[in-house]
Amino acid sequence: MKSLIRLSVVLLIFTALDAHAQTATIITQAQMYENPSDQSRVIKQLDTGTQVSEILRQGGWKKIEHDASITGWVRSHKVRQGSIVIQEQKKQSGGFFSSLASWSRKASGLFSSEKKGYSFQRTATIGVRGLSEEQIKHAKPDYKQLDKMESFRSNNNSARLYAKAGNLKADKVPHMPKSGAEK
Amino acid sequence: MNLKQLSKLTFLFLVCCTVSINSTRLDAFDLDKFKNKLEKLKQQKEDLQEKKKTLDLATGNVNKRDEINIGRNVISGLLGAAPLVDNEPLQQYVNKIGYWIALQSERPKLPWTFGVIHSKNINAFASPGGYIVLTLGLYELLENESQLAAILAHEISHVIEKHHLDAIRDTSKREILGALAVKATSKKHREKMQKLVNSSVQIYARGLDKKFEFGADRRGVVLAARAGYDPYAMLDVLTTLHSISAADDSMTVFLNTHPPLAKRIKTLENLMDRHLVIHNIPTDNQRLQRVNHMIASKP
Repeated sequence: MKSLIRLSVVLLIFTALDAHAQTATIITQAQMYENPSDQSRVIKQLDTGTQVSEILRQGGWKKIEHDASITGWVRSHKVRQGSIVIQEQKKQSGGFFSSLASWSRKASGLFSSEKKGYSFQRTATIGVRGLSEEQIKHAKPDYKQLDKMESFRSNNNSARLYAKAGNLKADKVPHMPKSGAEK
Repeated sequence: MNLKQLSKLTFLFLVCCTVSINSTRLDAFDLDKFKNKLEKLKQQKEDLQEKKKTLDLATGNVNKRDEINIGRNVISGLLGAAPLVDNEPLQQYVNKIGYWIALQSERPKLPWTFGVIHSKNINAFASPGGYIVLTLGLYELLENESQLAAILAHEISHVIEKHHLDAIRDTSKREILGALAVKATSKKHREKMQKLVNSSVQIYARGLDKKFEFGADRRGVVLAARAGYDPYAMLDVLTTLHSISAADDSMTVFLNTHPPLAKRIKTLENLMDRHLVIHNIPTDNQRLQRVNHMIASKP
């Protein structure tokens, strides 16, 4: 009986840990640091596609666990929640690119919806339209589209209400100084 | 009523009579002359206004009304290249988010207008006066509302800083800019506008000075944070874009007109590490996912 209680306590702890740790995927090669700073010691190099557990988020950093043994910090944008299969695809030109983008498209559900008969292609593309350099330069201004675009404009009240409904709270954040790249 | 008051009233009465007699005389004898003079003055005023406008535009002092008119004409050119996605809930969603972010900016009173345009290319464009579009190709890459906010905030920053307005001004002849700052209403007027629009939209194919892109990245993350979004979502978007190779032709114009993604990521990381002051990282509100689900499931 005593051991049964001990076992259930252990199980409870595991469930609690599980509620915090979430499956995540390294989406681009990342350094795992000892602390949330790139000045700290590098523990490990993680390859694209590595599955990890996300434990904590702190600013632009995420604390992760790898192989159920090593914990450390990686830049938050290099880890995405969920189990993502990232395939390296070969292009004819010889270059490789990861299919993170096609994963995002699939996740957005818009591309896949074309199969269900709904398609954004409903707006027929008339004549030479498109956003290549040449097409941009020679486009005929479409004022009917402008009128349509303006009909969707929001306003002060509507935008504020929508922000509130989405749990968005305005915060006073000061602008940052110019970086060297801007000079 | 004493004598003094009475004399005051009499005086006032006399003044009134004189004025009315004078105006009657004017009605009778000088009306045509007066009309002509007024007409001439009006013409002179319009000429002066026109001259002032050209001068203002040339010296960089473009007023808000002219800026909005230029922006409307320029965005019409881009809409001519790729029309709006025919989906009202999607357009309204993007407009509400964009407007809310713009309210946190230094120019909340511009007529902020947003749109998703039909193109598999990955790009977003900001036109003067607060007209902003992003392509469906880019929208489909987004995972949450913070990422959408990151892109809109970057474009809003271009408008706030008048990057495109200045670029169009610097590359256009004064007359072109003056003519572009007109609200095209009649059909004839709009047809005339094509040449002007074509010459000004070149900036979107050529791209801005790269330092303005870094500037819009820097200001954009702060605007998104002010609006209550996770400011690090901009880095998420840039990383996603970075995962698409240059061999993918949906990125050609974007890559030609923007600084290398690796450098944008590194620059933003460093800036945000050192200078971003935020109180907490908000959790995603799952709204973008719900909107997309609704769009995808509706016949």
